[in-house]
Amino acid sequence: MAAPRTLELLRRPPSGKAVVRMTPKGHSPVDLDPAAPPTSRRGLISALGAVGLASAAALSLARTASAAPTSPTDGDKELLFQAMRLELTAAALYDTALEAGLSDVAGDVATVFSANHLAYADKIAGIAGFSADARNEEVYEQLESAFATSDAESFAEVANGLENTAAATHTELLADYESVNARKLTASILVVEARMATVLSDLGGLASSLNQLFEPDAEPLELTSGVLS
Amino acid sequence: MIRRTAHGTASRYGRRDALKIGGLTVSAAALVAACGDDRTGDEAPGRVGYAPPITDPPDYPIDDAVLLRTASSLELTLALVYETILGIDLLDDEQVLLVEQLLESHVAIAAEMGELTESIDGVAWECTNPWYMERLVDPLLVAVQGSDDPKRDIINTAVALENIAAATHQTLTLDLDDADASAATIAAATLESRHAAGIVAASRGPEGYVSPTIGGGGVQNDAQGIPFQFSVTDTFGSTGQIELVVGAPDENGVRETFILQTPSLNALIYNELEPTC
Repeated sequence: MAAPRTLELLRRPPSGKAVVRMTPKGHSPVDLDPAAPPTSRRGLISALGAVGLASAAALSLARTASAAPTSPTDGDKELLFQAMRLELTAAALYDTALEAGLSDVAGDVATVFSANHLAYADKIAGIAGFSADARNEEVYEQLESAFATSDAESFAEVANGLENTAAATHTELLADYESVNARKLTASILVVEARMATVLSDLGGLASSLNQLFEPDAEPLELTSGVLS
Repeated sequence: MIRRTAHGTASRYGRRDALKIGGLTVSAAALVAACGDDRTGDEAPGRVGYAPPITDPPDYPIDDAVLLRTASSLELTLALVYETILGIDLLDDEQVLLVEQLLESHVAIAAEMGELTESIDGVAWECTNPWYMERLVDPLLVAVQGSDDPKRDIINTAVALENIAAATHQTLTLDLDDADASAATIAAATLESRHAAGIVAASRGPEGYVSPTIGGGGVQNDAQGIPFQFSVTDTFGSTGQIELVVGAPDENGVRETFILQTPSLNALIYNELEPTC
């Protein structure tokens, strides 16, 4: 099957049905190869043209992106630094639970979620030019004892609260970021934190209704003071 | 160069030279004509073999209203799918409650997007998305209803649609200029991400919590060769295309695969489009 076109919403035809295919029947009388290899000057110009068209198409929707700076501004960096510290704290808290003996499904979940938060911290540090080595000690100390448990339900409850708070915090920060990279990265982090919260809710049997599962009450973290609401 | 003739008189050009110069002149003229701006005829690149005609995307301006109308259309498309699923009458009581909740959420989000459209002087879109309906939903629902395991396909379809809706809102929140609209779309992306995760958790339990691909593992399929769904599919929220395998196998054991993508130029609900419902 040919590769899907960028702008098409394609449906792959079932195999075995009458579909249009190009079946090779020996050497084609038509030269299907490009006239010049991509390494030639002509090929390079063609490739650059194709890239240019693709870029133009990709940018056609990114209206805001064209007006906003790509790299984080100084104001973004201040907020990103706090966000990075929160992510490092979350990773450390999951590690605390694992060190306390959390195992089985809860242990597997904690292992992956810790790695996810570390990846977020690394990525934030990467776009802002920080070293990812400073967690939020206030938040860590506030939650450390609750995370130091091998009980799956207790772990799920405190971790669910952390994920919902982290998602709410990133959501609030998203509105304040100016740069495309900060906004794009933050959006891609917070939607996964919402998923992780949902998993933890199921793991601990925490939600008494679908409304509570899908729209939990969560307040953003006050990052300047580092206190969980 | 000077050429000497048989009579001993000097000539600047011989017959052969005249032919050369004539040929060069004709070639140069053809080249100049080809580069001119008065050419006529089809300028589309040549195509080899048979292929469906390419649909050029409309050349309409894209503003916040267009993006919000598109968001409304997508939400109403999902609502229609859930209405159809409820009509199939295959789900147990808990699943019916879940689908009813999802339906209610999408109708509410569509209404919110409509209000936001009007708040920026646009016209709210109150229909499904014709592009998605024609190319995705209609054939998808036919495949699900003809499936050897419709309940499995319904769950997988719901997860895939929630994932693509979440990805769409994740994209829109970056594209929208209006602050309220941007905030509403990231809230929708978050809610729909929770929907997708919740559906998988409810249907698969702990086995469906985290995709093994996050840890570098491979994609897992069930006994029928259909990829499993997971609550947490990626470390970062993906906006890439999603493959959905549904329907009964054909004589070769192959099922239909649908490719779900976030709306692009062809699927946007431009301000110039007339309602389709």
